[in-house]
Amino acid sequence: MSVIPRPLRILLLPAVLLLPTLAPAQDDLFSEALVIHHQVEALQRQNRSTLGVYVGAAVNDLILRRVEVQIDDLPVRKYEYGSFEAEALRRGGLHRLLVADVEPGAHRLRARFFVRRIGATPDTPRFVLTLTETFNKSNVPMSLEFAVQSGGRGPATLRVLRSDGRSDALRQRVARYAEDARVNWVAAAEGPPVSAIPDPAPPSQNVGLFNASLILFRNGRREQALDMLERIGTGDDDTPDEQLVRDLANLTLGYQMLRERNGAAAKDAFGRVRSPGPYANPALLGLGWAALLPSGARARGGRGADRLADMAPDQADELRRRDPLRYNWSQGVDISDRSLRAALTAWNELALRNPFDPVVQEGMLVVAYALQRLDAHAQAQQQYETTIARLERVRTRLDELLLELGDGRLFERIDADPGHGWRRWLADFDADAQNGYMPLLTTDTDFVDAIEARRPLLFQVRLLAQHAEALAAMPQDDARVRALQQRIAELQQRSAGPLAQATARAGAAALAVLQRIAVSTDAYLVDARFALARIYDPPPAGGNGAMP
Amino acid sequence: MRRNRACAFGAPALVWGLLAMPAAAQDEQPAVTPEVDGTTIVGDRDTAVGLFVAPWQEPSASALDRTPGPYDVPMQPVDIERFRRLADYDRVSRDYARERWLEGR
Repeated sequence: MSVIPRPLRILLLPAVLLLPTLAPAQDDLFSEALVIHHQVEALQRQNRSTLGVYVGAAVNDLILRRVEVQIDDLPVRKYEYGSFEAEALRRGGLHRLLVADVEPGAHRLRARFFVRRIGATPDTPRFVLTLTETFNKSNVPMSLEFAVQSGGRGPATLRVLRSDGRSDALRQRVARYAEDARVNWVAAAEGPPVSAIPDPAPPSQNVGLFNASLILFRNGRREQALDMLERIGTGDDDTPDEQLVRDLANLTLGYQMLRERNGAAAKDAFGRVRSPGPYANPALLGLGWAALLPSGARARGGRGADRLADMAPDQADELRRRDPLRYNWSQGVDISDRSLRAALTAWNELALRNPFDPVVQEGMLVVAYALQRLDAHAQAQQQYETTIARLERVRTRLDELLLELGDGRLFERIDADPGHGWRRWLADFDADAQNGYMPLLTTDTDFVDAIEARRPLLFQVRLLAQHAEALAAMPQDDARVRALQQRIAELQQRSAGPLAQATARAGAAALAVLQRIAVSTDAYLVDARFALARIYDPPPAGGNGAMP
Repeated sequence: MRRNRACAFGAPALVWGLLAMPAAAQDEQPAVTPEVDGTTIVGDRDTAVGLFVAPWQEPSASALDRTPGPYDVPMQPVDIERFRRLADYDRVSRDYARERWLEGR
């Protein structure tokens, strides 16, 4: 029986069929939307007396985290900056916080800016910069720019700079901010075109080296491949890209060492993987297995190491069935209680982590297996029961998520504007999901690709809706307004299809991830229940080494 | 294993019980509980009950085994751009967690 709910199956079909034609059509639509966008803005400048409020914080030692701005007694506009946005401000970019229609005359402006020092620790005090000012607004568009300025050894300060309308320099800084914040579609809408903005950092060379090491493995040049992985894995560059590729190299090296039954080398490699991190869970699992393998002189071909390989297939199967530690790497190896306890140190930590992660699910079971091996049967039984309860909760939540995905609620929630920059990266989405399904989605390249491809379309549809609303408030006897309204309506109609396709594609990618978790959860549930049944089922009289 | 054997013994008992029932009803005599070793099956009369009796066989070891090593690191090259994007997501996720942690202090 398919895990895909029927409505979703129908929804996904057009995405699969039309996917190859999506990109060029999307480009054309986006260009048209930008032309309309600039024309509506030009019309707005003639018809409205707008006030634009911008935020800048080009200071080296500080990072702007949050702002609260209020004009007169209007609702307070709050915004929290995500990592790349705060970085974009430090690089000189300008964030357009709000654009409002403000009547000519005197107005009051109040602001609170929350600032941290770079590399803050829990003991580092947080600054709150406050400002209250009055300003006079004429009947032409006006811009206010908040500027955080470093006070050197003294406190930082907050100033307000006034200018008329939106100069090209202002637009360029807004576009630069958008580009640095990884929202290129917003940068394109800001125009004039941004040029000569250097790439924030060149791509990691070590990713290329990592790929080369795999090719060497495939070509049988094991020694060179291992050397290359070791070199990447022991590097000391701390940029995020480098850290991630270093973790991947160490994980790959560690598992290769497990395959070669070299416990000590595997342990070294796994020990270099950062925790927490996307590769931390598999590294912890491997670290446990590494503790069970012989090291040093016994590492390869030692006593017991090849026992499994020497057995007849039936005997090997029988041993695997009777031995709760099912991995090839430990099968047939003489395991001491001491090494089991060492393995449990890593696995106990792993078993308490995110139960949606198949690696953690394996960890939960392997803890119970190890406890059985140590003759701690009561604890093993308890561990199996806890595991079953946790996995059943995961399964229930997965069923709910599959329904949410099928009826569109999941993407409705993802698309909501929470008033901060973290949502762009789904970092804040479903607070509890950060220890649930979300890390598995955001580390899946297909899902991330699909969601990134969908963002410009969503931006375009929202921009058109926003302009349609603005035009509706303008004099309807103006022929230009009517012409723009007609073009927007037509483009909205043409944009709906590609957005639906992009949503379906992202939904299909999410579904694939959720299905993988569901399959894994079901498999581990069966394993745990079967293991529990074996505990309750005593061995037949005269049995030889059966499970207690 | 014992459970299946019990089912094998229990099946004739059930058949015997079903055959004996009409006779017991006609004579209006109290039902006699058969003294046969095996399993007593208690069920809901309103629910259809099916019983499958399969011949006993020794379990095959390989039938209970599953492929060892459900997790192994894939030895696949990574695409630089896609990998970089994952690094971005990972970085922001960490920063968000850190920010929430700092905020509480």
